This record gives sequence, C-alpha cells and structure tokens, in this order.
Amino acid sequence: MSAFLTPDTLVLLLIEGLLLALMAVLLPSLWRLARRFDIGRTTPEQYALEKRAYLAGTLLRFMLWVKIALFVYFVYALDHLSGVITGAMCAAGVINAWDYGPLLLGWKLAGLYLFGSWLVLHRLDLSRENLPFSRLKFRLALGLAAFMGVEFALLIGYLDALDPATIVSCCGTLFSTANVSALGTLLAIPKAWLLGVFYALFALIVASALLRRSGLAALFSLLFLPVALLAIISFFSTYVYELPTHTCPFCLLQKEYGYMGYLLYFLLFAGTFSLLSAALAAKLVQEKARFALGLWLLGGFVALATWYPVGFYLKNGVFL
Amino acid sequence: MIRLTNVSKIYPLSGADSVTALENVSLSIREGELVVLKGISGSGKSTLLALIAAMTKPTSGDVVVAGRSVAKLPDRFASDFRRNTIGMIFQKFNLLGDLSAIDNVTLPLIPTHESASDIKERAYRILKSLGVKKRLGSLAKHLSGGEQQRVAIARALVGDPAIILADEPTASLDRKLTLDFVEMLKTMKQSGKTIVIATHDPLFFDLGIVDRVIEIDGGRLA
Amino acid sequence: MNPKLLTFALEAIGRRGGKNAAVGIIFALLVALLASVLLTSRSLQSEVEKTLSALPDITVQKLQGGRQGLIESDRVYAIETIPGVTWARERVWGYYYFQNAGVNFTLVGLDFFLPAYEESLNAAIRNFDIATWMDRDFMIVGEGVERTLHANYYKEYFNFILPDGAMKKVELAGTFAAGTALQSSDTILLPVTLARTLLNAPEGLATDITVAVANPEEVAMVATKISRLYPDTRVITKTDLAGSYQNLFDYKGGLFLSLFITALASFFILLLDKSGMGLAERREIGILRALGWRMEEVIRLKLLESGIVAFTAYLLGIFIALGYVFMLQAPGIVALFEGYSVLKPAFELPVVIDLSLLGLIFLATVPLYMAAVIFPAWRAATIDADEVMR
Repeated sequence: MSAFLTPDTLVLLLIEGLLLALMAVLLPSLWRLARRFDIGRTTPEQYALEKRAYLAGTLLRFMLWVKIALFVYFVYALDHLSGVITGAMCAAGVINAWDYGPLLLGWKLAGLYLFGSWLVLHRLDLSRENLPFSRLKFRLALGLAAFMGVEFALLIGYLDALDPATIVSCCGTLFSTANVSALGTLLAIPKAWLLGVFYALFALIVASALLRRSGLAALFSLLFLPVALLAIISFFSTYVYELPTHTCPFCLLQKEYGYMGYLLYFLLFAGTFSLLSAALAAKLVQEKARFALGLWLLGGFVALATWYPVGFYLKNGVFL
Repeated sequence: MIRLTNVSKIYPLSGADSVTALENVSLSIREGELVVLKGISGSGKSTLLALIAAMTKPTSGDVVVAGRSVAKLPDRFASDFRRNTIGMIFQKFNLLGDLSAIDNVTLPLIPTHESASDIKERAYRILKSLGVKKRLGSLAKHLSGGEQQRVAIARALVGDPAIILADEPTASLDRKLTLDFVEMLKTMKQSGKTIVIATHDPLFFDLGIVDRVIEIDGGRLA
Repeated sequence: MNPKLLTFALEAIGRRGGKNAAVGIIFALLVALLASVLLTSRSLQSEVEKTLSALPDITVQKLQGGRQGLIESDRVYAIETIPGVTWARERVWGYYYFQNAGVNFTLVGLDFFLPAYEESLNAAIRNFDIATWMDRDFMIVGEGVERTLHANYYKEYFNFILPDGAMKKVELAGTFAAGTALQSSDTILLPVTLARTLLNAPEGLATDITVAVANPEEVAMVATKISRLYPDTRVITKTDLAGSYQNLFDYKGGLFLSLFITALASFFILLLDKSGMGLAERREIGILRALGWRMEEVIRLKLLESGIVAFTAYLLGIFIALGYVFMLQAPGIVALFEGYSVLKPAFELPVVIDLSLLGLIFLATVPLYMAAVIFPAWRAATIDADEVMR
C-alpha cells in the first residue's frame, strides 16, 4: 500500500499537478514575453504579446495564490499522515520519513516568500503606465516555473518514499539537544541568549521601520525568521505544551493545542513577508515604504508567543 | 483637447497581407468643438474614433487626448481613460437586449466603486432629461427605436465624459428621430462637451451647430 | 468584492440559464458521487475506530506455516511475568458459517464468571442471570444474529453443525445491543467449553492471547518482548490496527478518488472543447470593453460567473450526498468498503461530517472547474474593444 493513495495526498498531487500543467502551457508565452515584450513598440506582435501578458499575469496570480493557500493544506496533510506513519506523533516524524523531506518543507517555505514577492512585483508593474517591470517579472516567472518543477519532483519523491510500514522518529528525538546534528547544536544555545537575540531583533525591526530604513528593516526581518523558529522550538513551544521536555514546532498544529500553530506561523510568515515586500516595493518604485501591516502582524506574533510563558507564570508562579 | 500627430494604423490580415486604415493623419480638435468626420464606410473614420477612445493603438504616431498620450497605454489605463473621458454612441446602439433600459445605462459603471443606488440615481436622472420617463425597467429589446437611441445616449453620458464620440449615430434612424438626435447634440454642446461625429449623413455637413467638417478618404484627410 | 459586479454576474448566469444549469447539474452530480463515497468511508471509519478503542492493547497470534494457528494457553503465564503487563488472557473465538442465510457469525467463548477481556462484552452480559443457565448449552446473541435467526424461524434455539457433521442444539438465552453495530451485531457469546466444541479448539489451545498494558507508552516495548519470547507469534498492537485501518480507508477512498479525478478531468476537457462562446456573449463582452471595462474586470466577471455556478453545484452535490448517505444509507457504496465483515448487519451509518472532509472534496473538484474556465475567460476578455465598431 502506498501513501500516494490517501485522499489528502491525492488532492495535493492533483492540484500541484494541475498548477504545473498550467505552468507548462504558459511556458512558451512566458519565454516570448521575457524576450520580446516591449511596451514602446506598436507592432501587431507587441499587441498580441500584450494580450498574452494579461493571460500570463492573470494565470500566474491565480496560481501563486493557490500555491500559497496550498502550503497550509500541505502542512495539514502532513499532520494527518502522522496517523498512518508508524512512530510519527505529528508532522515532524512524517516530514523526516524521507531524507529530503526537510528540504521539501524548506523549499515550500521559501516558495511562499518567492511567490509573494512575485505578486508584489506584478502589482507594482501593473500600477505604472509604462509597465516598468514586465520583462523582469516574466523572466522571474520562468525561474518560478523551474522552482515549481523541482518542488513537484521533490513532492513525488517524498510521497513515494513514504511507507506506512517503516518506523520513523517522533519529535521527541528529532528536536532534542542530544541530537548530533546542526539543529541539535543550534538548539543547545542557551535560552537566555536566544531570547535576548529574539527580542533585540524585534526591537531593531520596529526601530528601523519607524525610522524608514527599509534596507535595515528587511535585513533584520530576514534574520528574525530563523531566530524566531529556533525560539519557538526550544522555548515557546514548551510553554504551549506545558512540558519542559516537549520541544517541537509541529505539535502546535494539532487539535490538542487549538490549532494555534497555524495562527502563530501565519503571523510570523505574513509579518516578515509584509516587511520584506514593503522594503522591496520602496526600493523599486521609490515610494514611502508601507511597514504598518507587517509591524502589526509581527507584533501580534511576538505578543502571542510571549503570552504563553507569561500566562504560564501567572497561573503557576514559576517558569518551566 | 484631441491631437493626432502623424498617426498610421495598419491592420494585419492573414499571412503577410495587411490593410492600411489610416495613413499619416494629423489633426487637432479644441475643447468644446463639435466636429464631423465625413467619409464613406471604409474610409477610416471608425478607426480614427477607436484611436481617440484608446480602443486600439496606432501603428505609428501619437494620440494625445485631454492632455494625455493614449497611444501606448496598457489596457488597465486605456480602459479607465475610456470609462472616465469618453462617451461612445454606436451605429446600432449596441444595447444589451436582455437588460433593462436603466441597467444598460449603468453598464459602464458596474466595476467602479460607486454604490449601486448612486449609479441608478444618475442613470435615472439622465434618462429623464432625455425624455425617457416610462419603461425604464423594460428590456432594451422591447423598446422602440427612439427609446433605444435615448438609452444609448444616456449610457454615453452616464460617466460624465468630456468627449462624446458617435459612430454613424443616425444611420438606422428615420428623419424625425434624426432631428431629435440633433436636438440632443445641441444640449450636449451647450454643456461644454467636445463632440466628434463620424457620419456620411449630409444633414450634418451644413448644420448650424457643427464647427468643422473634416473629410476623410482612403485613410487620409482630404 | 464589488457587490455590483456580483449582482451583474448573477444576472448574467440567469440570462444564460440553460447552459449554466446543464453544466452545474452535471458538476453537482459528480461532486455528489465523490462526496457520497468519502462520507460513507469516514462514517464507517468512525464506527471502526469506536470498535478499535475497545480492543485489548496487544493481541498475540501463533503463526503456523505463515497462517494463524491455535496458540498454547499456558503462554499466558509467561507473558504475565513481563514487567508492565497488567494481565494476559486466552481467547477462544472464530467464525461460523450459516449456510441458509449465507452469513458468518462471530462466535466468542466467554467464561461467564470472570470479567471479560473486552469491556463491551461485560456490558453485554451484565444483566444476564447465569444461575438459571448453568450446565446448559446456551448463547447470547447480537441483534443482527437475532434478526437472521428469526428470519429463519429459529426463536428459542439454534442447531449448530459440528466439525464432524453432528448437530448441536444451543438455546437462545438472550440478546444484547452494542454500542458499535458494525462489529457486535454479528456476534454470538457462548460458554467457553461450548465454543471449543463448536470451533474444534481442544483444551489447552486458544485462538489468541490478549494482553493489557497499564502504561500506553510501554505497549511497543512489551510487544517487542513478547515476540522475542515467542518467535513463532505475530504480535499486534492496538496502534498498529488503528493505523492499518486508517490506511485501508485512505487506500480505498484514494483509489476511488483517483478514478474519479480522471473522470472529472475528461469531463472538463470535453467541456473546454465544446464551450465556445456564443456570438451573443462575444458581442456582450465587446460592448463592455468599448464602454471602458478593463480586461481584468471582464476576466473577474467570467470567473465570478463560473465560480458561482461551481460553488452552488458543489453545495448542491454535498447536500445530495448527505441525503444519499445518511438518509438512504448509501445503497451501493457501503459494499465498496466492506472487507471486514461478511455479515451485512442492518446498521445505521453514524452521521460524521467533518469540515476537513468537505474541504478535501472542495479542493478535489472546484479547482479543476476553475482551471477549465480560465482560458475561455481570457479569450473573452481580450476581445478588442473596437470589435463592436467593425
């Protein structure tokens, strides 16, 4: 019995496959647009290309939004698979059932930022009369097509490697500091240090955003992302589980914890992305960066994460 | 208000063939002017209107309307320009037969952010000023020729455009309705609109309110 | 979302009512088909899960030549010495084929004086007065069995045919209702010695051994120890079973889903092929473009129209499926999933509707629909604005 055949993974494959097929249909158009599109020309070819550009733009916008939404479904499906895969208690074990599983997850996560950036570029392009970024955006779209191709191959490889019969590790071993791996080393960083960096970076992001230093805001946001993930794993999650030894970024997604992981990660990813894209937009079109939304989202993330240890302290009078 | 500079328009046909609809046309129309484009069908006057309305783009040359070059606008801007600046009246009215009179008038404003009741109100006011007071809810296909014409004019005016373009507006009207149309033209001119009428109806060539007649033949100005 | 555009889209759907209704109804029926299968599967799954939760932590079976054989009863004592084990008990049970009705009964031997290994069985015999029936051949049956027996005119007793061909008369002492109809409806409870006779299981041998473990965390470790102690056994934990059942349902549901998707995709390719825009629709879009509608607004309108049709059809399909599965009891579909019970008990499918399942059905159908309409929408939107003047 192959894991391919669960309804969840099939739907995932169906939609990913559908998107890839649409991308394949678009490829020749994208290729021509990337090479030939020139709003300054008035040839029949250019008029035809302008229509193509609308198709490509509309389709890509539709597809990339679906891709972003699909990420949530992917995470949900992983979590659901933990019921089938022996030994897996949550998505952590499922994603580690294949050596390249973590790569697939990282790839998909990177995809969120890439797709989002492309959508921002597309919006900026269409908002100017001279469509200044059209060639650029279609060239980048060719890159996205390759990116999606690799992602699909990884997904196939991953689902193929999933075997309900093999026993995988649960999050208890994967995220333990005793784990001899890069992650294990990182998790061994003293919590006080980690938290110091976490809150300091957040303060730096707020400061640079308020001072309108978009470059700095983007840099700190980029740094904040991995630090925040580490802080969730080794510190904040233990307060969600109320168990000092339970350090896992995936169990948060489960029903026992009110699915709060979805909210927490949404705030983190949307917040950092919003800041990055605001900085990017400011750079591209020389306008004032719109940091407000990103700051609210990220502020919400920090507040939510902080609430768990504080709430625990208020309830029990001690920290874990 | 409208200025064309060395405008040519070549439509590609199948294969290597092409047809030149306009060739090296330059012309200028002032604000508030009522201009008649005179020419037989196929002379290029419809293409000229389409260029002014940014419905199509010139093969070469520049088109400046209301202070703005519309020759190379991407669709989003061209469409917005058309919705906000141009009112079009077509030869066959081009109403949607299955929509009511009032719904035909509000058609251009549906994608805008104005509220449904606001645009209905505006459409109603304009229809009333054109003398259509009854049968506003009737389907357009059940209206008489005269009523259809008024609905088409109301639709051109609903966005309060600075420029009215009319393509053979009286070709399918009888004598009486044609004269009604001339009356409505007068009102439009009085309200300061720039008007361009493409027609080969001789009635317009020596009409008092017409400021200028431009003759077009074989894609060139005569 | 622009409310005027929404209203306009709704009216436009109405204006082309026939075409939209035809596509919508076909789509709704396809959604209903898929939803019926998946809802049935989920409902059966919850029934099985309820059954599983009552099972012992570990079941030990003896393998002989790769097949299950009878296990020595005295292994119970060795297993009970393993640390962490609360108790271990032998079980005598098996199937009896009742030829007249063409069904299998599950015979379960019980020692009526000891608490049974399964809580549901204790519940079944709680109100049973064993004193009256002492030293008689009697049985207590599930409701499904009672129905079958009555249909075959057995009211007070039943004649079992022994392995050697002789008849064995067993009196019907009572019936029990069980929490999960699927598993217990076909069950017959008997004194263990009688069960041994009917199943031809000699004293000292049992069908299998069940083991209770106090701490769930230790189940896996105990299971490993048992299989080391007795290499000729197969040791099954409750978690294994739960996993393999989810697997079975996922597999069958998945198998169906993949067939279904193929069918749906071909339907849309057909639709894509045939759904050229009518002349009237083309003219309509040309007019909108001439009046200043942007291409993206026309695409939005067209996608909105399709989206409304698809979503309405999706909801309709779900309602049809709900009615079919939970009111009509899914005729024809239950059979697809019946691999675990040959007896076909007349049980009610428990109503289980979870949102993730509805979401899954949505994702499996609506995006295909939308992908099929996006190209016609684009072709419509790129009609030249000056086309209506030519």
